[in-house]
Amino acid sequence: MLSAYIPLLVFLAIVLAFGVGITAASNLLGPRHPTKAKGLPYECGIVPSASARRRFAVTFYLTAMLFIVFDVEAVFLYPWAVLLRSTLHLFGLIEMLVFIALLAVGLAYVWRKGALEWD
Amino acid sequence: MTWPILGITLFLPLLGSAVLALIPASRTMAVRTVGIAFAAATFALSLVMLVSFYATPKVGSAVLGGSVHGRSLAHVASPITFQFQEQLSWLGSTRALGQFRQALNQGNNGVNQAFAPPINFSFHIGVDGLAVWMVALTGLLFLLAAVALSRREDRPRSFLILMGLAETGVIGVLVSLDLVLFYFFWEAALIPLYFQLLGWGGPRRGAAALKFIIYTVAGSLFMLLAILGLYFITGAETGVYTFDVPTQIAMATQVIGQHPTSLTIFGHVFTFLTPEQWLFLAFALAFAIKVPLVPFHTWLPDAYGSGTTPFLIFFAGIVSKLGAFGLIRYNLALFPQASHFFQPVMLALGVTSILYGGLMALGQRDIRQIVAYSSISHLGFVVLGIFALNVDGLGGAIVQMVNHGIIVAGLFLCVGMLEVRFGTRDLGRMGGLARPMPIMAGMFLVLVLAGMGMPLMNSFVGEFLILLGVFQVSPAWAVAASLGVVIACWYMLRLYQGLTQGAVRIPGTGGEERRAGGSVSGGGVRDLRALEIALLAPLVAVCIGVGIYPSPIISTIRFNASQYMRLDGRGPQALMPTLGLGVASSSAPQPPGGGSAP
Amino acid sequence: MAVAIQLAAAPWLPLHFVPAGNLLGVLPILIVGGGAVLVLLADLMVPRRGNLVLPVATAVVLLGALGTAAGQWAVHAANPIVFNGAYADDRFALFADFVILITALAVVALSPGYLRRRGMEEGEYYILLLASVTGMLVLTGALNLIVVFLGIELLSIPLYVLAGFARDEPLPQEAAMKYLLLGGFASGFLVYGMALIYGETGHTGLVAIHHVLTATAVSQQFDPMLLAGIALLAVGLSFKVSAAPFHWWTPDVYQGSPALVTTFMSVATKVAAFAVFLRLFSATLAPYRAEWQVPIAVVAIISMVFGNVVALAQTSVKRLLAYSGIAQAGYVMIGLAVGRPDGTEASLYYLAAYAFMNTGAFAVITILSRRGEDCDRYSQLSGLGRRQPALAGLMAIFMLSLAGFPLTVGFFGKFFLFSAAIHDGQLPLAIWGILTSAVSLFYYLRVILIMFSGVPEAATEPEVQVAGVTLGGAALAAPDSAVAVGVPAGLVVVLAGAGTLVLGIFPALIYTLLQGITVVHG
Repeated sequence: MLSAYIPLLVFLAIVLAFGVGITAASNLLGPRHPTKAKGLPYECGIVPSASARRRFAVTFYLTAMLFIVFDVEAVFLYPWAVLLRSTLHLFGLIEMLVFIALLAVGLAYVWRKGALEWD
Repeated sequence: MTWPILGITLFLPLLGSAVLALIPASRTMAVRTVGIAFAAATFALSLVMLVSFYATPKVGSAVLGGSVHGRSLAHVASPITFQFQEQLSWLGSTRALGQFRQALNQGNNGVNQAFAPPINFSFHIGVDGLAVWMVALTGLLFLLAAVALSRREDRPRSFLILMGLAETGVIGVLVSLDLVLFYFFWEAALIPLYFQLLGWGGPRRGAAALKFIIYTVAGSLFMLLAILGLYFITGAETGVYTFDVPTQIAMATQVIGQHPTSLTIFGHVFTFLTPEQWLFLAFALAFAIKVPLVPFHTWLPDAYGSGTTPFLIFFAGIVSKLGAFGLIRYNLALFPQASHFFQPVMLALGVTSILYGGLMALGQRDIRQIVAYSSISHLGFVVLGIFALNVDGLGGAIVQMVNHGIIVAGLFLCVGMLEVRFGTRDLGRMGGLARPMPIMAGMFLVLVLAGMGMPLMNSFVGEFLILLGVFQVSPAWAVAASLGVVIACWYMLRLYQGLTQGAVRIPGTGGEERRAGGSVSGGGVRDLRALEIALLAPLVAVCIGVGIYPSPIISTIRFNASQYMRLDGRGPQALMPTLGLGVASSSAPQPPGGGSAP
Repeated sequence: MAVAIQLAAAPWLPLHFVPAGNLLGVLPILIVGGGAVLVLLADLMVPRRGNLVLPVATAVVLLGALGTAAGQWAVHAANPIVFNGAYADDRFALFADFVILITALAVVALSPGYLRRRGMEEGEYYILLLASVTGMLVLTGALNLIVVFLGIELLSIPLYVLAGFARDEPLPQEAAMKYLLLGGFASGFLVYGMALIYGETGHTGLVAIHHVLTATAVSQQFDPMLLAGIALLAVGLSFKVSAAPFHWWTPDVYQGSPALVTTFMSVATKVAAFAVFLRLFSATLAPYRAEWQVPIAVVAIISMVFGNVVALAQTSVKRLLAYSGIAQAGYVMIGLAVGRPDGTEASLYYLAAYAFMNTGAFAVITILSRRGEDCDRYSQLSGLGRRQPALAGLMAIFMLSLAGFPLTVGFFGKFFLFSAAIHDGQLPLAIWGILTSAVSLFYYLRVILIMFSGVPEAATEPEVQVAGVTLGGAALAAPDSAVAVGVPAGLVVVLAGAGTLVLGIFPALIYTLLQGITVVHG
């Protein structure tokens, strides 16, 4: 049964070799002209205004977490919407309503607990 | 049997504890009265049972009654007569067991690997001639302890409640006819004893209580394994899975578990004892610790040294007899072949206990410790008698168990009375007490003589029978044990003379010894009060009475002993009648009521 | 949770394929999970502190689930498998559910008083408790490796938070962190094992895996990958039941967490984890019994020896109970190692017994607690027999039961376990069990000794060092005044004590339940 994994192993080896090879090749072959501007962090083309190593308010973290929850919800809703009429029908609708209700309760909870207040 | 007298006797002390728990602790008089009343009622019931046990002997028919028995065992009966049997279902239904039997008998696959026999134990109680005496002794000693409870004792209500629980536990051990029920009571009885030892007594009682309970429980745990082992071994051999003691005894008369166990270590095959012998050892360990036999005795001096007097009356008087009881009821009856195999070992342990206990008693200055070590020595005699494996030895051992319960209770009572008066247990600081306390000295003398095994005292009969039994097996052991009798005379007389004879020495309250000098009265030392006399008098009376006219007790006990000796198929053998001890002179033991032996 | 199962099932199922029977089968889970949401909403509505709305609502939810589970038991469905073989509401699962729900009820009854004394009355406590119970209920009936994992995570994550619920104290913080890290570690083992088993059998459903294993076991060609998967699964589950040598988190977490959380953690988690352990090993992996029996027996013996011996040296009751919990896990594993129906029955019996006695013992500790700490050091228990005889007496009952004395339920627990071991011919397990039981007497009885003889140990006791944090100093003085025991808390302790005694005298009450038990595995 172990022999079934040999293709996988070969695949893994090729992937590794390819990654290492490309990096090494570009390092060896590519021309390099370092300037100060090239060493700056990439900020969508805008020149950075301060050091990246300053402290953020912890609220950012909270907001980011909440964002991810609802972001994933949106991602989840899209394929569901595509399949709703053809496959899922009423059952799928009820399921999604339950799912959204749970998230809504969560939203109500964080709201009420003051997690959405900036201070 | 129209009403369950045995069940009532068993649970009456428990009921007493429940009633006591309802009385406010501050009303000590009421507490005390209720405690004594329940103990007295229990004792009365146990006497009724003792009398009617011998008045209406039931032979044979009741042996397997009520319990389930399987195919080949229908005609095999337990040789031991149990009376007052009661059986209630406790765990497991007979229906499940029946289904298991059915599957077993269908024979298509035998026992399926995944099909376990349902564990099935019941609340089955009953008494044989051994247990009925022990129950009576229990009733007597607990009654004495309840009466002897000092007025100044701390928290009398708690003490009496625990005493009731302990009494139910002890009686339960004696009357259980189911191995699980027996183990249940055996360990449950330890809990109240532990708390009594923990809560009342000398300064080092905490350590003593811990030591006592860990010793005994550690020993009994292997017995639990052995009980389960017996259940599955006999079950696999006969198809009858049961914890029922009469059924197991009946099965033990067939040869069971004789295949040696082998153990492979690094390629070498070691063949150890047979399963039966392993089971014997596990049971014997538990009982040897409880007795205690000598290598397992070290809990005893601590426990006897720190308990209060009422506690010691029943603790030394009956609880240690449970070990000897177990050796007879379980080791002899369930493992007759192994009993013969281990006879030399057990005899050696018995003699060691006799000599060691006696020598240690000689070396003590603490009067309590003298009694404690004498107790080890006397119980060595009991074990010696049991493993003579003949009717004389076993009969003597049973007589001696009852006797020693009475003597040791009396001795501890006397010691306790002296302790209360003088605040010391040092033999060197007391002396000449016969003059200020003549009544105490007189009663003490009787008990001491009884402890020595003097003729015309109760324990003479027992020790004589034991030595007679042992002599038939091995004269050498009998001679060694007789040496123990000599040592007993020595330490008992040392105790008695030191306390009562010579110049009057009375320890003072301020630590300064007060020499009474010329004053014959002993300087205000009170002799025994009426209550104390009333406590000691019945014990003294029994010592003398049984010593002078032992034949009723001996003939009844001998009948029972012969039943136990029938188990290994060799039949009873006894020299006693021909030696003319005043016992009924027929060669075959008869039940005293006139029935015929099974 | 149930919703998640349905979602997983939904894409290929039209509506009529999810009959009401499926939902009925997981009704206890739905009730507790839905209850958690409702309690969360209630927490938002009601004013914050000092009212009993949340505990009462939580108790009602748990009672509802208990009633439903009892109904399922009574109906005894012919085919208890629901959701396409993902879950079973068989009597095995229901029995474990009973134990878990009753324990949770006891914890909820103790909660208001305890949280008030410790100054941590937050509504989230009850929500997290219900969420964790939901996970446990999922776990008991899980018939699919993925559902098993879902259940384990759902029960663990709320517990990580609960362990650190006393936010102002350093020990709970440390406990929560340790629990989180080692719990995650254990989950890793578990998932790896599941992946290997899936890889070798091609199934995640336990029924299907059982069939594949039965087929391969006959050919006697044991697959090393599969054995590795089974081993990793065993390691992961041993972490969860805190069996030695996978127990390292247990003492610190049990001692550091608030006593009430420890109560819940030590009893309910153990029951749920053992339920899945038993189902996986003695049912699903039964064809490979010859392979896993010895390692499991060795783990059982190590747990019994290690737990009991190290417990001897403790001076804190919480820590003592942690080590005793490791030892008790070893005892339950005897039944697991036996693997046959009587072993499973014995393990379940012991778990039920454990629920009574351990909940009771911890409940006494929670009653003694006060602001800022749990009073659980031996010096603080000294003389309790005089100060509060009833409480000390009940504690003594629990200690005796844990030690396995007759008259208490612990005795029959051990009796059935040893009986199963001997019947299976596993004498070493029984002998080690007996030896370690004898060792355990020392420390259980020592607690009784301290309570009743009042030997003041404060003078000789070294300061308690727990992972570098020193307790001691001011807190060492034992409280002299009797603690006021609230009615619900008192009721819990008394009921636990009564249960310990009644079941110790009438073992048939539980044993007959277990006789009718069915385990679905395939």
